[in-house]
Amino acid sequence: MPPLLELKHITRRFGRLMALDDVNLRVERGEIYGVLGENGAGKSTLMHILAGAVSRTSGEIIFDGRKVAIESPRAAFELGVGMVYQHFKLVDTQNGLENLALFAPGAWLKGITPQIRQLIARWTTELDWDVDWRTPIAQLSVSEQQRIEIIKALCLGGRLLILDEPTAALTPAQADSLLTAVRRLAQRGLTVLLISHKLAEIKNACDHLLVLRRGRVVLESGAREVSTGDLVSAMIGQDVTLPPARRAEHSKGPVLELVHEDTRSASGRRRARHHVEPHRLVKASLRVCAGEIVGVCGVEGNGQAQLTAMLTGEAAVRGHLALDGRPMSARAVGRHMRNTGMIPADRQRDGLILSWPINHNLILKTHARPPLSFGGVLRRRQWRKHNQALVKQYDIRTPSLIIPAAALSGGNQQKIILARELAMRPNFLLAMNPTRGLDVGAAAFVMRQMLLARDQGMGLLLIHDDLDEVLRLSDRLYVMCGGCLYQTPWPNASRDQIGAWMLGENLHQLADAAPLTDQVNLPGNGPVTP
Amino acid sequence: MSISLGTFLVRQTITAAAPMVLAGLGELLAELAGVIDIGIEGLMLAGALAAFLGAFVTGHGVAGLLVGILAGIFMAGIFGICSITFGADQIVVGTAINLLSLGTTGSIWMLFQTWSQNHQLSIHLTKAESFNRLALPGLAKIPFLGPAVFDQYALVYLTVAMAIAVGWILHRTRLGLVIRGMGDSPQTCAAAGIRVNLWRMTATLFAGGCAGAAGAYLSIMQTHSFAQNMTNGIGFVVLALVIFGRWTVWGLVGGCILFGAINSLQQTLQTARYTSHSAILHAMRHLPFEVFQMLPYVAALVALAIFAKSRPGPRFLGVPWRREV
Repeated sequence: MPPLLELKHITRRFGRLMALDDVNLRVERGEIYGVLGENGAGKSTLMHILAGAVSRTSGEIIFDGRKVAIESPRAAFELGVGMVYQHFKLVDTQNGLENLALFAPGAWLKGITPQIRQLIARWTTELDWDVDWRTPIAQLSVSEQQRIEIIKALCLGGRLLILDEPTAALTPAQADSLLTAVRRLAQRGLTVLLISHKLAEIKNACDHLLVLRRGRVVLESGAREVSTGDLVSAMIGQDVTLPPARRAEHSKGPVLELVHEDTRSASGRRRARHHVEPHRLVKASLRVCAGEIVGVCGVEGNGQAQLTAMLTGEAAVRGHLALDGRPMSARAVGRHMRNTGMIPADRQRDGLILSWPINHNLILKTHARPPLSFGGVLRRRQWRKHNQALVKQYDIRTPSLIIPAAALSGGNQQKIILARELAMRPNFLLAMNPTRGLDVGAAAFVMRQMLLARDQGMGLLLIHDDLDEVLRLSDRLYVMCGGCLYQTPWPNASRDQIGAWMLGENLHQLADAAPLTDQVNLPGNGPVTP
Repeated sequence: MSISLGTFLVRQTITAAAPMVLAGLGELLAELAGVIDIGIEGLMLAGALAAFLGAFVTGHGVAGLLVGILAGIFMAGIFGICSITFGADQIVVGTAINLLSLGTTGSIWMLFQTWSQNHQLSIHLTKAESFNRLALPGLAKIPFLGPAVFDQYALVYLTVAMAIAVGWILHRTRLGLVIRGMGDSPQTCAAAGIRVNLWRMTATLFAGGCAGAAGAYLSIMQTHSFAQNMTNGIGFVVLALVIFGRWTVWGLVGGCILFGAINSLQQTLQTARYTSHSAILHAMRHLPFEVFQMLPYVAALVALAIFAKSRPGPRFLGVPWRREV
């Protein structure tokens, strides 16, 4: 039997940029292929070509022994190729069923047909997933949306499934269960192409690995025959030194104090829908001191969004909130944002003005300060000097500073935000998923900069999905579960214990919301002995 | 046949609401697909004049209606090529279409008037050239309601059928999912293999046809003639009513009926103040008639302020679609 898919000399050019340069690949049936590479290495372009979203400049695609031209997404579906994009292709005002019907071919004047329901039923039983098909996508959590997206891709394709960074937005437990499900599907004959930045994960889940660098395949091997170090050096062409795990020795004055308790009963709220309710923050007590990194980890949808909203002044605190030692109302917090550093969770929406050039994005927060402006007028020479220094210091790779931020890769976009926020030397920095979607090299850079900022006396609050990174960076750690914030005895607790707390197990071991009246809680001084 | 005042008011309400519903249905569909055509006023005006001229030349009302629809589609085509194909700003192009239409129809109308005076022709259509009220046999005999609801122009019944059809398509078919999807997330539709700009163009042309028919309704049905700027802002009211109805068919229809009711009430008041013996109405004689004409618009503003809780419309409304990469 011929291989399911064979790519011969695939090339794709965007203007002067060679996104893919003579890529050859054989994909056997029922196997899982991991695709690795830095941001901008060409992984997504290759996948988009297979899904019919991007056309190739030259080369041949042989699917199931036949030469094919995948010229549209529709053509890909007809071959049996379904793709789950990193940014889900779902209409979020419509529910899951409607989204599937939107993608189903033909039948313009029919709605949700029995065939669609049958297909859904088939794949949900196969995957053993419980999916809410009737709630608008916008009200579902990311992992629920992803399940719908995956089932959609399977219903449309069903022979080759392409997953573009499926675990980027998931907690470790969710990622595990997803990869288990994918392996189960592969055992039944489905072929999977999986893009990921998480090396350990991809090494465990895949049969074969493929590393792309600058549009070329630089390494192809069985997953077991290659070491993590080899993969990293193949990806970025050099070794990466990950930041040292040095803990802050002592903490200074608090830069953030928060005591919040929402005593309203759940039933009193307008609609106690289970998927809306968990976003509420019920009880939290949190302190961040100068010169330390405080981590908050938890399964998405357990109150992180509201915690963030309170710290940025978008939601009111029921209790007490002080920044830089000054008690503040929500409005005052909002005004204080110009002095607070923030790395938002969605960098493209909340962190950058994508259509604006880089040099404008770099001074969004600092433009009014000396020496950048004088009497409300920007001083161009100072501005240029400032930007050039930041580009150099933060290694922002761009041909020019006057191209729009949208033109850069995710890693470089994140560097712009990091440069801007750190350059204003805030006392307090709020960082949400700062390495989400970044490749190893860029992620290490971001982490190193955060540690550096801590050593220079900044207080950082890190709300992050990636447990390993939180553990590596945090001096103290809180766990968020069911709308409550719990202080953990980290580093005197194991990774597994923390994982269990995140899922709501053994929470009685932790005192929720430790009172702030006593002295600063140093690492290990938590009220619990595990 | 003489009818009661109540019946008369209901009948006038429906007569006034129908063209707004018709134009509104098209606009609603286009807006849900992500295209905001504020040139709808201009499309209606073009439809009105084209329908009049069509009927005048051919001598058939139906032919006039078709010409009116075609004129609407043609103008919508200009709008679509500029704003969908070439991605120009929809508000700017729409405004241009309004101005273009106002000027063009005005000039043509003046030329026509001069020409008809020279040839001593009436600028009013005859019975055969226009539409008259079509009483539905049987139903029109129902007391009170019959003459009010079932003695209307043919296009009114068609509008009702179309409102039901559009509601059904939007919420019960894949076509409806695609239309709404294009306004909320065009990139999703593109990933589903749907040619977003082609479908947006189709929706825009459909809206143009609806607006053209609504314009024809004003000229060859309601007045049997044309007048400079005869739409008089109805297109803009329709734009507001689509938002007022929160992008639903029933909200739109309700808004149009409300507006039509107040309009027919103020028209009745204007005449009644000279004929009635009521002291209050008598006192109104000294008010300038513009005060009455103002009423529906004041009511629309008040209603918008009270009822229109802000609900975001289609997320990509007015945003041209360009394929990423």
